[in-house]
Amino acid sequence: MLFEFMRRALHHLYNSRKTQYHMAPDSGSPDSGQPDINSSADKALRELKDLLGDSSDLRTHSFRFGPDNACEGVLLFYDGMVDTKLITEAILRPITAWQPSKDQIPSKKNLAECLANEVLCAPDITVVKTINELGSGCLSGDTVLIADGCSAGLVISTKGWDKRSVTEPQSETVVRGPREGFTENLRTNTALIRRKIKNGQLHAEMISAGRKTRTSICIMYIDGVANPDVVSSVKERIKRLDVDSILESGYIEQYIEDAPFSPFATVGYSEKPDVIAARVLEGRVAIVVDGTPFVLTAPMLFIESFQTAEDYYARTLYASFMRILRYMAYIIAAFAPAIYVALTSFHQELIPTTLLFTIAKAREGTPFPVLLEMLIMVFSFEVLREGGIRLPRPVGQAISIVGALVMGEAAVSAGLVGAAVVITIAITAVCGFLVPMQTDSISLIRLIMIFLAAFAGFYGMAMGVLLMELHLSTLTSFGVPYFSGFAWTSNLQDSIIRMPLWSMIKRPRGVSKGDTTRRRFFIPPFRPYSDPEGTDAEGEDH
Amino acid sequence: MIAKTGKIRVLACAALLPALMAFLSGCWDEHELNELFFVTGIALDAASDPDKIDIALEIEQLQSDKSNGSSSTQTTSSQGSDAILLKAERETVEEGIGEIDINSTRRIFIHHNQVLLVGIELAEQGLENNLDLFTRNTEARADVPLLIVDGRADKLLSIDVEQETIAGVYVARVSDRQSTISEYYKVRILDFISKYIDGTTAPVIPVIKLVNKNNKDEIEFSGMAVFIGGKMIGRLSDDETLGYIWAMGGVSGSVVTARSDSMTASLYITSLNVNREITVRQDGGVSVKLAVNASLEIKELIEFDAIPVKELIPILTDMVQKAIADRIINTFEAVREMDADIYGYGVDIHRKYPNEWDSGNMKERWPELFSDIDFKVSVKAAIPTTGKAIQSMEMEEYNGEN
Repeated sequence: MLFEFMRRALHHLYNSRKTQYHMAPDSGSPDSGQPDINSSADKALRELKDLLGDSSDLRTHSFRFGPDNACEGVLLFYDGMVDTKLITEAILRPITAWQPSKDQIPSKKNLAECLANEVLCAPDITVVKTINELGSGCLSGDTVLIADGCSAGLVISTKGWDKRSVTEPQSETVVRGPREGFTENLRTNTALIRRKIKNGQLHAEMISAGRKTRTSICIMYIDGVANPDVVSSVKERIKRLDVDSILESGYIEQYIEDAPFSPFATVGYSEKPDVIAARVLEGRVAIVVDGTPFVLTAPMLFIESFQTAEDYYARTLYASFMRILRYMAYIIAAFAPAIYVALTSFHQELIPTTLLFTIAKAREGTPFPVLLEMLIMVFSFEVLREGGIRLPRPVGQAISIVGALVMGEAAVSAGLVGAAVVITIAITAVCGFLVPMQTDSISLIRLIMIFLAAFAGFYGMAMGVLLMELHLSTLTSFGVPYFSGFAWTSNLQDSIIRMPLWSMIKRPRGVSKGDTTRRRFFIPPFRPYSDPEGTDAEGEDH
Repeated sequence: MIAKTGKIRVLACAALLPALMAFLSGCWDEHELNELFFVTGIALDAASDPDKIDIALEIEQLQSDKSNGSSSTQTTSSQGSDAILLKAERETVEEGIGEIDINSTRRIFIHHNQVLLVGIELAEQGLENNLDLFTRNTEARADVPLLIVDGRADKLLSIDVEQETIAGVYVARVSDRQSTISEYYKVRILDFISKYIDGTTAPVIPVIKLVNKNNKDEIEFSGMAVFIGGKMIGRLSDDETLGYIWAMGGVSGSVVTARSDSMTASLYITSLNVNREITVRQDGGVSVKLAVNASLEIKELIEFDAIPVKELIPILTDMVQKAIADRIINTFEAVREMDADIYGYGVDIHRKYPNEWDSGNMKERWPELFSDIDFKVSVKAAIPTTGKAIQSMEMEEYNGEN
């Protein structure tokens, strides 16, 4: 009883602390408090400046307009976030040219609505009643207009900051397929997806997260195809984010993923609109985050790491061959160094005699045990890889030359490591690049396997593989089993091999729910010479 | 709380797992490659002391500096070869290997042994006590070729061969080449033992000898040694060996030379299969009928100029059939004299007539029954092609009629 009481008390304390933390006020956020707009333009402007913190890039522009310049107005915007040309054309020019006849002059109270409806030439104008709404508009790059004597303000969409144009993504290049990639601009990205899926059922829901950064996040899915449980789960997880800042989709990924300590990623990502569109069409939910070209998708299955966009653009046989190659590459990248260690330190009898002598001759004179030799090479490779990525491109090339010389030539000729180890690591490295989505997990598994192999040979490796399999089969992504791609017969069509597109009738089972049919019938491609009624065949018989 | 307990449990499991693995695994079996001496050939010879045998291990020399190897008794490093020879003289093979092992700088590793050579003197004294290690030891492979050396076996391992760098590998590869002609050319330790435990079959093992041609050491296959009860009791000549190989069937490769008057024809056997029919007669005796089916290719014809082309094939067929049958019968007669059933006919009868075999005490009477076998051979040869040329030089011109 006593323990139960203590447990409850502790639980209560823990919860109340958490609630306090959640409710901690954030002075910089415009959401705190909801004061109305003062009818005096000066006062309203002051309040707004207080809210936004009078920073130097916050620009104000006072002007007079209306009949006999009787009305007074103020424009407020952040420099650099707005299109000044648009402000001139859509706001200032029409408003200063506005000279209504006397009977059409609105009362000052209704001035804001009149301007929005009759005068201004912008497509997106919102009449708002609170200072906070004005502040939010200003922060997201819109222009705020306050008219003296009116207790409503206008938020006019004039977003126009410098942005990168749509270019070919660096991390996912293709030989055949669209070359466009996402940019850092949320709207561009959602438009790129919508351009692929011109369907009213493609829903896009905006959420903002990050107390300080107020990052816009857009959740996109096809209603009726995506599993509603997954959609609500994604929304809920993002809404529950209590985080200061979100600067990249990686932040979100780490907050919403199912298994944060697993080496395997359970949220997918891509830089290519066609890939994201294909995943959305399969029933996945896309999470587009403002400020990054990497769009997340959920749920993610293990099999996704081996599927590339080009698999579907290339013809079946070649695509299947590449798929099989990728699986083999994964196995080599994760296990080859461990197999080498196990073979050379425990199971020498399994190596063919001639090969054994070649390896043994290379090992003669090297000072370190095979485990250490392998670790040195793995470590050097990871260091060089990291160096190659982070350094500017010209220096990166220099690094790779040094790496190739040091690792490939000098280390062997100096007798520090055996040539066979260098070859193993080289093959491993190249194979690792075939499955970019699993590069992180491969690096970790490789290291664990090397230790297990050095410790207990193939027995240790078998234990490691068993644990890995257990872990993988218990892993889920938003409630969908990670191995779901291998679980259903219909999913196998797009697993180790890629069946012809015309034979894939159903969307992946487990991912989509509702409208799961891709095509209604199993129809092979129409061949012009074949006669569906078989009259040709009869004719030949005669 | 529950989650915490669960976490502790997982952590405890994760910590215990490696500890448990240390007890379960064979991690004491870990050996770096540069801590091993890879044995590529084993030679067993009769020692001067009749209770002992000479054991020699040929070891692949991996390090460039050859001073590492040493042995209790003797170290021979053959010039130019990549191998060293470590020797010991002990009562058993295991003792010998053990002695060499503890007196070497590295652990002796016999998994990769390529060949087991036995000196002819030891073969005559008896092999059965020296082969047990190769079936029992987990490291030793029983599928390596077993060969009898005409002379000292260790001498053959220390030769400097030209075709390969290591003598053990050289011998094993030559033996492999022969087995492409017929599997009966290659006798593995396992084959010898399985025939030995048949009881009635007399195992045979190829014999090799060291020859010196143009000041270069080479090995030459010279017949087969016939064993009864683990002891070598006789030898088959090269011709008799061929007769044995043909009688066993499954041949693709050897050459038949058929002679008649002054004519000599060499034909290549593309395939030779034997159907053997073994019956126990009413009188209790055993009859063996071999139906040989051979397909051959003409390779060389000498002094055939008197033969018209259209008669060539029938004449040749007769010659070849006779040559094959003669050779098989000659071999049989030779082993009949030794009372050695090298073909395994006894096993066939045991399988075919299990009741008679037991009730008639045929196992005990087998040497006697074998020497009285009624042995018949019928050969059916086919020569589907004459080779590239239809007729030889000076042969009567072929006019297209047949």
